[in-house]
Amino acid sequence: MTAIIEARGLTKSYGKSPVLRGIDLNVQPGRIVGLIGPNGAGKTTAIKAILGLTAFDGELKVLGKDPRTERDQLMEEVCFIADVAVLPRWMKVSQAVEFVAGVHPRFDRKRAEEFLAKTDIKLDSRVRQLSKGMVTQLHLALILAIDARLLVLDEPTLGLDLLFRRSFYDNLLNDYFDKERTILVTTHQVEEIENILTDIVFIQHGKIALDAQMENLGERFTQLVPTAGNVDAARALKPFYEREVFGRVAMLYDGRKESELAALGETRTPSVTDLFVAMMQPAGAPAAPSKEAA
Amino acid sequence: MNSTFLMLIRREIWEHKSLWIAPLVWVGLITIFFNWGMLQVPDSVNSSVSVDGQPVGELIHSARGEQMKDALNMPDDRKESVFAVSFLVIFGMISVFMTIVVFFYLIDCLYTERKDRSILFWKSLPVSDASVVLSKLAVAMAVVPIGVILLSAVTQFVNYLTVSLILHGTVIGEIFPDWNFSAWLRSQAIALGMMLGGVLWYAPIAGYLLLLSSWAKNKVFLWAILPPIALPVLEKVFLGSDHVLDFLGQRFSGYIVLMKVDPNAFEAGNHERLPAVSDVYNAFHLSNMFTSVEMWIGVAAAAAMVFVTIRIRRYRDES
Repeated sequence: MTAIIEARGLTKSYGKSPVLRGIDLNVQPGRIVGLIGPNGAGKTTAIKAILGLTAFDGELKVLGKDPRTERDQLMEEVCFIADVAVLPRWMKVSQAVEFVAGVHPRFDRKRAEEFLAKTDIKLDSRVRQLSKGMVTQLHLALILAIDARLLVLDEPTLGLDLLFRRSFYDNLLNDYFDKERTILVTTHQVEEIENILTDIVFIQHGKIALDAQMENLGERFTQLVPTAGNVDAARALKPFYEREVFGRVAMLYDGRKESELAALGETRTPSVTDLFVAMMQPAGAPAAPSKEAA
Repeated sequence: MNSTFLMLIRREIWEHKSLWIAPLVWVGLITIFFNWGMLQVPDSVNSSVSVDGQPVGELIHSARGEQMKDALNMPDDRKESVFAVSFLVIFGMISVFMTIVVFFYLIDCLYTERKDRSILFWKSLPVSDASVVLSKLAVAMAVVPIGVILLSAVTQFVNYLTVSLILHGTVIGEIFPDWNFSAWLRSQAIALGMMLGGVLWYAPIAGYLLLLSSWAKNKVFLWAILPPIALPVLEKVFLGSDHVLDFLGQRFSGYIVLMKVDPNAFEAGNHERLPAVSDVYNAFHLSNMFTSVEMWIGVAAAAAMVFVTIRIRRYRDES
């Protein structure tokens, strides 16, 4: 199957400070990929490169097209929600629907209107009169009515309350996602999306720190809380991260068999949040596992 | 023209309501003041102008009134020139006003989308940067000019109707010419020619403003007006010369020079000296504009600036 996104050696600097230092990425159809990293890691820049919103060096094909030169054609099959602020505030809801219907060949106007009818949004309201949550609903209504192959979400639920956040992702999964479609989502609220992702990509200091499928996480990573006498033995097996919780030590291993560790204490598969915290240690902390281990 | 481009134009008109509200208000004001002025005329003429001690208002239906009407009356040719001049004055008033409105539109149109970050939404749709920039240029250089011509044509007609109603039954009403359709139509033709010439002549200024609108980080208005003021001053102070001033002066007024509008054509005193209509029509040397090399150099410069604007919008990174 051809990749939806194929990037090799993506680099980008703002002035002298590098933001992307050689990103390789391969996203297959039908995946929900979480691009996760701390602020300033390069998430948004990577997204912008994929959407043709910024210049960069390296090779990048999105749906087989070069975003640098073919952004307008690309956007027929790629949808994008940056964050709630981007819908023009002067626009009426009806005008937003009318406009997208007028310029987008794959937009299903009826579908958007049906979705809006289920919300409290009035067609003659202006965007500036809507709450943040309603603006996101409106944007989602527009996006869900587009028959696209790739949906890119950049911190889509930033600043929304819990109910809106939950229904946002529910709508996305129920009304939009299927095997033909691909979603790339960035967020720093990892816990919120970890159960909908099929793939995670950690990005740090402009580099990919981890690129893994969720179903393989359990095989590769193990968290061990060793029993009192086994701490030194556990350390000898070289965890890449350890932290103290309530007087006990939790250690994270990359590529160790669970059976090997189970004798030393309690084991389980770490959550994405655990991994994220472990790998996003500031410099000086134990090194993140090398990519080659993947 | 495809439907995407039309939608982009509609979008501009949705967003920039001043493009149609401002001219309607302006035309309303012109009509009110014009007619208010006319309301004063019959009274003052009727009472203050007297013939042999008798106010003309009383004379009008007498035999002497008929004589006076003949005396005041003008040949058809002169009547038509009254039409032509007043039509073109109305057209001029709307044009100058809309030039100011379009100035603000141009410095704003690519700037606000960056300021409110809605550019990320526009760019998430399958619309090229070239279409977006060209749609904004088309609003300034085609939609508004055509609107001005239509609006001024309607305003001319409406004002003829209201003024003739006001003057009805007065001395001036007696000599007030009938509606002259051909004068009206010829005025539209002249307006169209002047508009086309003006649009092409001022195209580089439009291109410059569009470029600023896509480029300036903030204070677009200052960027638009400061260089044309500061550069000539600096040149004068440091070099003692006036090249920039000459260049700018030529760019702003060259259009009128090229048209060679003959001021004598509009000299009006008593009706004997009113211009013949052919003088009025011939006062505008429209063809001079389209054969001017300088104008076409300006058009080429405008095209280059629009091209740069498209590149800026494509690669500009708003982070």
